[in-house]
Amino acid sequence: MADHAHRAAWMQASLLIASIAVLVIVLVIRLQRPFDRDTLAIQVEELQSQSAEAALLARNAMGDRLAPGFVRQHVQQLDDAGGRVWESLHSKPASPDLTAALARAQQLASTLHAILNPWSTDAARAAQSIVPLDDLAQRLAALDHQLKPAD
Amino acid sequence: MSRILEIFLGILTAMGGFVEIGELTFMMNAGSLFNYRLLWVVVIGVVGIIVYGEIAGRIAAVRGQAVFNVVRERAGIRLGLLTLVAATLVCLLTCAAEIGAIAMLWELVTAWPYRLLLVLGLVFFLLVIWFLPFKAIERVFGLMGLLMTVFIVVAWKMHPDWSQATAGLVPSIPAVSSDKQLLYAYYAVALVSSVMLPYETYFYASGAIEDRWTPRDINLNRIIVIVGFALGGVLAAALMSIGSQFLGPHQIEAGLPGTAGLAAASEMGRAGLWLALIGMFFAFAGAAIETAMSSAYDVCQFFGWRWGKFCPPRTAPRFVLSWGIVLLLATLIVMTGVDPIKVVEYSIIFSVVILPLTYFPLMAISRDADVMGVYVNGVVANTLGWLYFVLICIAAVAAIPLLVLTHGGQG
Repeated sequence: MADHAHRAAWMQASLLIASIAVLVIVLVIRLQRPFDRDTLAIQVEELQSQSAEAALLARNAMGDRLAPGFVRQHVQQLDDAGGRVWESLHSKPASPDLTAALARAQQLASTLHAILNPWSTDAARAAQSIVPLDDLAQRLAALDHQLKPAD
Repeated sequence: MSRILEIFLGILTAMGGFVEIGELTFMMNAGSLFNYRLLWVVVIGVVGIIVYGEIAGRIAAVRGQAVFNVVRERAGIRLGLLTLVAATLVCLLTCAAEIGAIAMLWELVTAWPYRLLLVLGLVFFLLVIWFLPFKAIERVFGLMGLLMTVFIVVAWKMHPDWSQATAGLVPSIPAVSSDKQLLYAYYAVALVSSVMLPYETYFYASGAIEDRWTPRDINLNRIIVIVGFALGGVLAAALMSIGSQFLGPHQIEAGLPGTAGLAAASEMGRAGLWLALIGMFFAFAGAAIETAMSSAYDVCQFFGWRWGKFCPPRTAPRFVLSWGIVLLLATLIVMTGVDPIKVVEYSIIFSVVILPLTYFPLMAISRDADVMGVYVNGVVANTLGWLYFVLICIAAVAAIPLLVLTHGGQG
């Protein structure tokens, strides 16, 4: 009986490990593939979300509804999140028809960093960040629409 | 009088401990993406957790058995061990995400380095679980988590669209692209899972034994789960409403705890910001403690080891070691730099896969009159229990394919 249970336990452990291995392999293969419309749009949407949130943050900071320390740190966290997208956009190529769109997304990711980075050390830059962030969010939304017109 | 106070505190504790980082982000993002269209899923999830929470609490009160005693007894070593491993992995991932989210919250306030805050978080949790008695842990984090009700006020002040919200209570499939429909289905599964996270049942039933419930407490159990979890559902719906009103128009995805703080500040200024940050801290910390302790409860119950906060640590060393190891591993996971929000999104999706494995043994034992006597399931518990069992089986089968098809729930 104990042997039986022992065998069953090993069988389950092996099955579990095999399932996890299959999932990981599938994920790794997917991650290695060049950007297609869907996967590039995901990165662009993330950048758009970060730009729009930063603009909202700036407006609320201007309205004196937020502690300056919170603003700086939240901007820093948004910048870090944007940095992860930037790295992802530079980590692999896009399919041939999307090379220009990838380059555009990379450029817009750099623009976001260029706005957020100085603001994260100087909360007083909120006011001058609003217009560029709104503009950036619009450009990213346009790129997203170009990638996925059906959405 | 003390009984009324106990019921009152129990309800508030259940409500205060209802939301954690995964539920917070999924609710807000669901609102941002689909407005109120997924509100019906919240209702389904809340009724589900009420049904299984009541059953788990009743079994604990009548038989003095928690969930993994029952899993071992009814599912046997084969399926039981699989359930245990999967449940422990999911608790570990959820715990990691909560610790990461707390470090991010502390970072917003202190500006200290993230990894240092993770270590401080680990030390904080080790000290809290080691020194505080069970009742104090339950009450402090549950009741302070009630500060999260600031989000109900914020949602109210944002003037929700009541006609849309009411329409959202009726299940519907939005007329959008097929990609978005897949994302809608993914969110439906994720929301059910985030409301019915299995660790909540493990912790609740183990807590009933820590609190030495007897059959006398069955009504207390019923009132706490029905009222407490329903109020928790209101909080979850408020988060969805904030997502719809505040984030949706700007196409913002809540990917940071500070986003929720920003939403609170936009309506209530700095007071709202602080209430939200403190409320989130206690809610996430409560969930980190519950997941770490749930893992230890599960392992000890399954293998028949001595467990419980009521035991002096030297008499239950495996229990103490288990929660200590889970906290340590969870901290190491987020120490690698992985995004805690992504971790919790995956843990929530994997949670739904183990829900049937957890709830089937509970159903089997709670409907067995030989075991439960007069406290056996009634018609309502049986009907809802089996109905939900079918539902979570469907969700469990759909979860992983939806995760893959939607690129990890991103679109």
